Amino acid sequence: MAGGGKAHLRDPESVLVRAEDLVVEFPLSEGRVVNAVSGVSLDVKQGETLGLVGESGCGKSTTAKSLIQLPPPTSGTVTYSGSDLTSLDRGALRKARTNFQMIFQDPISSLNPRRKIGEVVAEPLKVWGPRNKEQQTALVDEMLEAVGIDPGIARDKRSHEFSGGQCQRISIARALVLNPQVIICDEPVSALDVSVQAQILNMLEDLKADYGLTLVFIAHDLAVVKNISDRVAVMYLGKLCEVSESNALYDAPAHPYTELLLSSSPVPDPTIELDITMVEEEDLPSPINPPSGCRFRTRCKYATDRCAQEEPMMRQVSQDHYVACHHPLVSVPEKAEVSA
Amino acid sequence: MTEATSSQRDEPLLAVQDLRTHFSINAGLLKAVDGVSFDLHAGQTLGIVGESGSGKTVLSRSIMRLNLGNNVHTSGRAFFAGQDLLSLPMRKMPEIWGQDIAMVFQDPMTSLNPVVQIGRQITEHIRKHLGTSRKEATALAVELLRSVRIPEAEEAICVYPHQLSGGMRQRVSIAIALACGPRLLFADEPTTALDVTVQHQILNLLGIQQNERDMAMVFVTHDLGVVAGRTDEIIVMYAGKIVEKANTNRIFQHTSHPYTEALLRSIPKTDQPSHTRLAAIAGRPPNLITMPTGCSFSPRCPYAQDRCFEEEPPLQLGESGHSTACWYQVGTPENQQAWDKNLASGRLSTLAVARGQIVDEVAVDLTAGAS
Repeated sequence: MAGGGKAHLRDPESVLVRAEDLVVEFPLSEGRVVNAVSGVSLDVKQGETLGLVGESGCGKSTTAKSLIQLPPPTSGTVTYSGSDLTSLDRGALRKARTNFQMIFQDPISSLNPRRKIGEVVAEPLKVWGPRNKEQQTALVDEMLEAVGIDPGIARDKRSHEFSGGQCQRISIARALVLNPQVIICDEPVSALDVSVQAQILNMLEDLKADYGLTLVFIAHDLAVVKNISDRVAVMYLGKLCEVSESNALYDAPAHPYTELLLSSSPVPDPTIELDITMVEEEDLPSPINPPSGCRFRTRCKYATDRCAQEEPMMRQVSQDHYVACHHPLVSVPEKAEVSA
Repeated sequence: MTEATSSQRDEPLLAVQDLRTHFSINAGLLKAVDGVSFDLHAGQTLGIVGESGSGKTVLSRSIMRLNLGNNVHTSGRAFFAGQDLLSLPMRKMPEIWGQDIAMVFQDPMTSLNPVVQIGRQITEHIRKHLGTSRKEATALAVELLRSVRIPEAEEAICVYPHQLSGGMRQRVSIAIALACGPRLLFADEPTTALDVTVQHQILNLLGIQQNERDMAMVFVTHDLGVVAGRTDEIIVMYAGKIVEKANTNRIFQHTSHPYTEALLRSIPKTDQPSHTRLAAIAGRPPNLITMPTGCSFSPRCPYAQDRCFEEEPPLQLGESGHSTACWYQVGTPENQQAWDKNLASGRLSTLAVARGQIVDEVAVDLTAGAS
């Protein structure tokens, strides 16, 4: 999986955020580094939802966070509406970041337990919003209402008085209060029960339509990602494997890793034959010393010598479906074999 | 999976009768498990499904007698191989734990001792129960680690839990649970903390070990996807009670309780197109201290009628051993009429399903209907 190349990137004019060759390395002792993200290129159009999937440790959160320079990538560029965020000075970056907000996995720990909900949601406004207190309160109320929470009741309560799902909605209200363009959702539903998960997913769809939001949605649950995303990027060990319009990815996965993820994910249907032979823990490579060539080759049943020597480049499979694999599961038209 | 064997063995391995576990806390009496009965035969797998707070974990811990404290009141019976576990003196329980009944917990990091090598964590248990020598116990531990597919088992017995990945740690927990050859294994959300690929491996491993050892298993989970195809029978719990019980295929294909239906509908599936609107469930699980009268699901139920708020439906046995506690079971004409009626009157819980709306506060009767 290696996934170099930028064949999957679209016209820079048509996208809102474009990240090219993102590399994030975390230093260890003796000059070793953790290669968390190794050359990922992504773009998101205005109003689109990009899903990022992969196993834990594949770099999906790091990739999303490096879009907002938290921390800035080791190398690579992030272009947002014409300016390169990686080259902005501190002040300009702070200003630009108001267009990006994040929602985190654990709704309870992402709200300050000692502060009232009204204050928590108003916090971004104290930094960037209108100075006028009444305007601030009006905005807070509007956002709480938008997430289905009665501001009159909630404003003076604290987070422990709410359920996990409600806390997650309050986090969403806080993220929306500065009227951002892009929301990065880092596993926002993995800590929730299925019934609450359905509420949050429906709500994100509604808010996206109402406020013209662009979402970057990180999750490890493939069904959740399919439900919310327009386009899905599959990551493995700091690289992209496959990028596709979401229905096409699930109908005809082209990368062996996507196939593995799909065949492993539990389906609530007892008539589906389970592959019950897979029991061995595969030899999971470390991001400190990733495999040569295609990073997925150590776990791939189709791997050949070529996979160890040569890193596969992103190639087009069909319209808006790209894969980085030497032996894709669907045929690849020859002419598309161009890498940027 | 082994339907044929169940008829040959009439005596259930585990027979739970009217089990109740109540906790007295400052706010009142919390009825975590309230009148649960089921049978489990040797070699069979039972799935217990429910959302957080439905009482599924307390149920399995009550049978194991792991709910300690002065404020716990457990009543009912839990016969294991003919012996009532709940009336045994507490000092007898250590003989049962591990040897007859074992448990695998959700978080392998907290269930393993971080400062003890994994080999000793397995042999400790073997030496106590089976009285073998240290050498024999170590050989058995290596054998167990091999059976849970831990590579280089001889060396692996000397590592500490932090040196292993989450999936590997859960394999070690399974090896510990299997060490003394239990006849019944409780697996409480054993794969919830793991990645899908690792989850798949661990579930397969549990299935293989269960078959090899002819062990019965109780699989506690919130994920209906995990139990589909891996259990013989499923119990769906809501607010401390069983609301539906049937063999696995029937639960999915002839869902009869509105709560089970609601759970199934709220799960996104990979065969649905993107942006399919999910059917949410209105409201929140009830407060287990001040439970509504009538059916505990009635305030959130899209089909609820007057009777549901007044009279609690009993768990009734229907065809093919399928039991449901509902007055207006899904798939019946009465259910369809109830739906039409509630939709016409604009009942919030019904609209939540029909339109995917978010509804937090639900009425506990039908009069406060229209929005």
